[in-house]
Amino acid sequence: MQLRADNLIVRYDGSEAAVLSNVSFAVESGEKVALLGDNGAGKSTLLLTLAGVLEPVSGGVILDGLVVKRENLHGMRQKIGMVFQNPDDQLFMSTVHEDVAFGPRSYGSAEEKIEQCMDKVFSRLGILHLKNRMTHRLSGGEKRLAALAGILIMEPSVLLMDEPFSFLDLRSRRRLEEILDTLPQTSLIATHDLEVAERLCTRAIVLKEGRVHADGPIGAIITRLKSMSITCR
Amino acid sequence: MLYRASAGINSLESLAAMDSPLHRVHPMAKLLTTLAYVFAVVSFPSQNVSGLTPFFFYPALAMPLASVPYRPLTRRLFAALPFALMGGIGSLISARETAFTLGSVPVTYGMLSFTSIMLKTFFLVFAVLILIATTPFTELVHQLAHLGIPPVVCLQFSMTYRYLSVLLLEASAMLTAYSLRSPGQNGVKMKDMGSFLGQLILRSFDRAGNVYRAMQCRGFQGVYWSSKNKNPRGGDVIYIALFLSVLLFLRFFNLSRFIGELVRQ
Repeated sequence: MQLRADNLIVRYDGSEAAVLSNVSFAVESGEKVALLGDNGAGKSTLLLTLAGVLEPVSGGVILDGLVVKRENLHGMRQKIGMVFQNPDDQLFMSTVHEDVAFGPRSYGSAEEKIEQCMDKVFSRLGILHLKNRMTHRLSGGEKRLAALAGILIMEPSVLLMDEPFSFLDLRSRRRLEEILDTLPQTSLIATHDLEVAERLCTRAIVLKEGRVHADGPIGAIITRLKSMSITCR
Repeated sequence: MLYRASAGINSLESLAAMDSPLHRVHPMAKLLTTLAYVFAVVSFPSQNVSGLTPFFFYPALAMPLASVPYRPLTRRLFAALPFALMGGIGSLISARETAFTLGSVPVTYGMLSFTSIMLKTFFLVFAVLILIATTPFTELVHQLAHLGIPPVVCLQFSMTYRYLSVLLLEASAMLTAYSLRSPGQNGVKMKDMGSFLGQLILRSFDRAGNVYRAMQCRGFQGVYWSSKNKNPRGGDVIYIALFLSVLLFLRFFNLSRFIGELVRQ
């Protein structure tokens, strides 16, 4: 499924300055794109706008040729899954089972189907043992995987991930990287980790001060970034 | 202290996620029986201690059935008792006429009132704690909606409960950061309290906003009832019928007096 940002301009309430200015790009079906940029460059804002949480002042988000509007937002959100930077924001139910079931239940899925899908997703992520655990008792890595399970169970066509490797130790990062590598979804991954970005993605978009600063093959972009000493670690 | 409060909410949720015969009873059955129990206990006249005493049956039976540890519940019970104690002491002072003598000890109406208030508080708080410790909060809210409570009110319950732990966690993190930079200081200084509370509100607002966005991203449109939509089973109906029968019997038949008279004969 193709995801396109068309001339997006985003401002926060009460602010004159635009957080995103004329941001345009398209992510093709099945493509994995890294979203790079300094802190405050607008990466999270862009992801929230693409997920339909923030409304652009002008421009639009187009999913497979269909403009995301308030009227079709509910249906569109099923197709776009967003993994937040802080898994604690995303895990708001008491148990992993309840939290992962939140999305499908919101869309009125039958309990039997939810259970089937849940087992499939948990097996895929290797977290079947977490199913009945309390969310506040999970480790950072486990929380991240539980949050990802809550998104994958919705079977989204597009995955938006906001710094999915933050708060993770080396082992958890490796594991998450392996999992993300096998996901077939069109993905946009905001990260500061250039090495992981290079391994996972084929293309990168660099944001700087709310504008698309560079867009191209990941290898070329990273070489350019390193030589310009812009951004990241 | 704040961390303990937040952990307290989480520990109740952990208890509610356990499995026991009482946990398996349908949430609506537990809610209805608890409401009936509360109503029955409250309806006793203020000095009727003998009628109230047999109501101990519920905590006495429910605790082993629920297999929940006593400590977390009794700790919360003790938090409520001081308020009852204040009211009870007031009765002790105001009603000093002798009701009867126990051996050679005169028992005043105030003493009866005091005992009745303490018993009622004990029974009510324990009944509610047992309900919360055996039923996930989201399922309780779901059942309230079934009872005709407006969805907007149910949503408020649900969100308040959810954001309460967010607020406590933020406050706990801020207090830790404050304490680490003010050794020997107990609590927050008055001169720092304004900015501390202001920051707390702003941070909690941000966190709550993020939680809400995450909910929106997963299809939340203002109403969500977690429950697995279990239908009550035959066992649930028997539970309600049995519970209400015992309740009616104890409410209208003074078992303590009956046993007392049997013993006297």
